[in-house]
Amino acid sequence: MTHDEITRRAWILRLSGATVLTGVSGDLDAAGKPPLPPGLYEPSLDHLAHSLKTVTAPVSDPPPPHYFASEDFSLIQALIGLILGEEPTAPPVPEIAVWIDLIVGRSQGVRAAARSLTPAYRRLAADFYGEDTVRELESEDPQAICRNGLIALQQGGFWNLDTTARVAHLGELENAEDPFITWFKRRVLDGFYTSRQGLQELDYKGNSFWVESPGCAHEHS
Amino acid sequence: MSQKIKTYDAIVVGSGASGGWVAKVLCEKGAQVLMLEAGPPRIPTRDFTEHVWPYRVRFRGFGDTKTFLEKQPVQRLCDACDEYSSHFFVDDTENPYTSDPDEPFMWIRGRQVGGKTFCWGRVSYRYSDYEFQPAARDGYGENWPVAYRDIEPYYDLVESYIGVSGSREGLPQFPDGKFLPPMRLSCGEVYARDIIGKQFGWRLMPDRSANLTVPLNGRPACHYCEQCQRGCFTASYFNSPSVTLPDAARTGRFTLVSDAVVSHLAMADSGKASGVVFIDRSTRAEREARGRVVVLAASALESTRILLNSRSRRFPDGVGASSGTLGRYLMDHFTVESASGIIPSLKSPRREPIGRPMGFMIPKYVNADARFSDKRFLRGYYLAGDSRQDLYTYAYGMRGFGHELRRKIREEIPYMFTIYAQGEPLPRYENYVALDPQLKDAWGVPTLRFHASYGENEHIMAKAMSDRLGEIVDSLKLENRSPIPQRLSIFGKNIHEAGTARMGDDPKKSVVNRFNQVHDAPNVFVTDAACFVTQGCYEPTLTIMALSARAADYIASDYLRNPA
Repeated sequence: MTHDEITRRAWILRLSGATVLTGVSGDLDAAGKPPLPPGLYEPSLDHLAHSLKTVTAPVSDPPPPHYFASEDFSLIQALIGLILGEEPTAPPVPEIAVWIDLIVGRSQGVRAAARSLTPAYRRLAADFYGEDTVRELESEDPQAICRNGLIALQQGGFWNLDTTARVAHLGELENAEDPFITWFKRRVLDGFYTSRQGLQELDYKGNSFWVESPGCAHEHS
Repeated sequence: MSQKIKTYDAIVVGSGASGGWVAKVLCEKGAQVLMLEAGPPRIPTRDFTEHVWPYRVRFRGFGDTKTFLEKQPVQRLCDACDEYSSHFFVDDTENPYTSDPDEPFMWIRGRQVGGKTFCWGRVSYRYSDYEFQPAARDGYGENWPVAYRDIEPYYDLVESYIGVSGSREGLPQFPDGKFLPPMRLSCGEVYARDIIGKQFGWRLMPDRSANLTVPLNGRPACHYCEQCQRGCFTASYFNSPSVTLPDAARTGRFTLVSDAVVSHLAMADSGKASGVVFIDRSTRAEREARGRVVVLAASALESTRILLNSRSRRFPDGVGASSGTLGRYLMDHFTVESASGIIPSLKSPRREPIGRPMGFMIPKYVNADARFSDKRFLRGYYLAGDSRQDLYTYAYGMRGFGHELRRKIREEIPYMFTIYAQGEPLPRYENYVALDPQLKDAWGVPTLRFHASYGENEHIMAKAMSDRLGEIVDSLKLENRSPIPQRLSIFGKNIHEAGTARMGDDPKKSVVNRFNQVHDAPNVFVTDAACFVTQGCYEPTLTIMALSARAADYIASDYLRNPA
């Protein structure tokens, strides 16, 4: 199946969305009423079409990396593939790689912005999240983490290993709480479970159209 | 050459929950209304992001941290302000404020047609006389000049019109309303309801929420996508742009001017307001609007800011300041959040449907039911939370890689239970806002400076709240528990700011009377939560709407007919 095809789930969403609105009185149709001033609105099929467009529209090809050099970017894709058990070119690996490239590329700016918070805003953030979280935002350097992590893998001959041995080595690094693998695996999980494939794999049943309130249908004792 | 300016029957400042009801009632009763809104209009096909999947947005729903830090260092702390919805919140660089260095205040604001009703939590509770008349029970502070029986008809009106789903419980301290059918509890909540009911004698119920569970007044029922804070194309939860303001507009007597930042009241020699002065948000040009009545419904602190900034020889400290209480008695709920853990018996390999826009709540029992008296502190608290399957964050703690890891994530789904407590702050004179002597916003309007902290009563109550949360998670035998916080939330965090222009019969102790009319300037009304005398422990919006409808009723039926 290509990205351009409408998935069965998307069709269900579309149909059930239409069902939701079919059950509505004619008030949904604003025809015959004077137009409302900008900013006021009524329930509208136009809004539904807008929403469903995002469900059914094809995912465009991932853009090229902005931060990682192409050689490193290939390694990033290969690592994502290993963590997920997929080929480096299999969806959604490339889109996760592009997102990681984006957040690593912007991390220097994030750090600078965090360090530039006024004392009042910093105090507010520290009271809200805790001092440790604010310090982490001010100091965490994903560029260095990734750079050092990739160098270490390279120097350790990681890429000369076969797939089984690579996964075993990643396990050793994880058990040793290696900063790169710890940081990177979490981003891969975030990237995967926010992808279409990952959400389908979870059988995620949210962002949907239900006729009645989801809730407990069981008896518990 | 002077240009003749039209004089409206009423100018309403602010287009959110309060302003929407004032405009609806006034227009339907025949008044010509001009509404001024500081922010822009939101266009559903452009600004709504419901049903947008995370893989469609640039940062996959996690947001652009750099831009948040640079532009919204305060707003980003609100959990409803995310990559999908940050445009419903203000740019903090344009809207600064100050606070005491050791007492930060978290001011969350939404400036647009509809105000914060785009992103509010929709929790809709009635106050009872435990909230309106608390001093009669414990002797602290002031009672409201109104009682539940005065507001009850307006609660009925508002609930019947906006649609509030909820269960009828028959508890004297938590009045039932004109409810739509309640939503269902989740499995985890049913589990907790039974245990908490048996062990504590407290009733856990579906939250009371301004989401439609059945069609109402041409609005379809909720379709349970659980993305209310991104806008709603079916208008199935209450917000003013799709519920109250269209009614006002359809009368033909309603004029809406957006991007109009009101700076101050224009006062006539008579001591009444002739209108307001506002600044065009785009051009920065100063303009004036005239009205027989001015209704400030801009949110508690923005309305008070306008009053404070309306200084003249006659009103040197601002309009409504003669009692010395303008800006004083600032309140916001405090919470102890959150106790959470996993319900072991509900671990499952199968995903359940999700999408309810609310969770559960347990009303106030402590110091509202003789069986649950606690003399260590005044007033009380309620509990609320949510219980559902975790989506995937449990995977962060799982070792391994590849398909085996993914299988475990798919098949070992933990069932979370989360609960927090929200307490009533006492109204204290020493908690106040004033105009900052130096700082101005992007339109040259003086900003607010906050002086707000919680007192001994709040700290003692918070300890009791924390202990009670611990007892509850013990009783539920939760696993993987998070540590229960011991400290109070930041002042302002709950976005229930109230007080600063409180209501009362005595002009020496209050800013507005029982009909929200400023004692010092009888054609000026303050209808938002600035008028609150006390706050109870419950969310304020339903009460704001009821008071607004009541004040508008008074303006149309009494004041405009006999302004003398």
